[in-house]
Amino acid sequence: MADARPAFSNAARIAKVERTLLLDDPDADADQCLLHQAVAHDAVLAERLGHVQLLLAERLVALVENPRAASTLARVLRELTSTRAATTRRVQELLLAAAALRSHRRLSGAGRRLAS
Amino acid sequence: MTMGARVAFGELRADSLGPGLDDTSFDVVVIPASGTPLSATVELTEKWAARGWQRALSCPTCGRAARVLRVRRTRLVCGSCAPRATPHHTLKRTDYWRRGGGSLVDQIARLVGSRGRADQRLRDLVARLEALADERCREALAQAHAAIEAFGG
Repeated sequence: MADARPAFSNAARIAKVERTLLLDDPDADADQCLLHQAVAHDAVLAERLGHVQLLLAERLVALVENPRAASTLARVLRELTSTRAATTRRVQELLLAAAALRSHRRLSGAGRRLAS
Repeated sequence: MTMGARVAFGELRADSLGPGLDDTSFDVVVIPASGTPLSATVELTEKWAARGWQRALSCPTCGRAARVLRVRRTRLVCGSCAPRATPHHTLKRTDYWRRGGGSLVDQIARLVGSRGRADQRLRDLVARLEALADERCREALAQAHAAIEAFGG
């Protein structure tokens, strides 16, 4: 691959995921928007990694009889899988933080309404 | 090991020995949750516990009094010899935490709940997280594409 950098400037896809997240929570404040931004970024990366993971797995299956190729491909696939797992876990943790924040805001808002 | 060996499942606990153990040592077979069962001779000792001396087990590894002995590889060990990793310790040894930005995510999660609105620190953390994610993905994808091309992709 000559230069991987352009592949990461998939701003349109990130913006689309971010918009989808905001549809669920139209009253999101600045904190939640930042979390959604980070989630969208990582979700798009996870998609890309998953796609390449599939390609790599297909090559590995095709070349499983070739020990040298299989060993190299398996090593690279392991690193890629580990990277994707970390990315997916980041998405989960960030979504969890966003959901906790949203619940907290709603509860405190309901409390204020009851008090007034 | 004699015919009268005791059997312990998971770990050997001093309070599960029960009465009728007058010797200074006894034979035991410990069957851990995973791994090979271990037979050993364990000496009894005493340990101060708030209101008096209580029966305890002498750790075969370090000799200190312990209430619980566990199997670690081929030996019985106490909590001091082999501290048990908590889920928190286990998390901090993962690839996600060390190289995958887990510590940054943790900082972000703690920060967002503590204030009313986004500030520069949160923006910086998110920017650092995105940069780290990009960097690692770029490396992994570059390796993957190189491997696919090298082997006739």
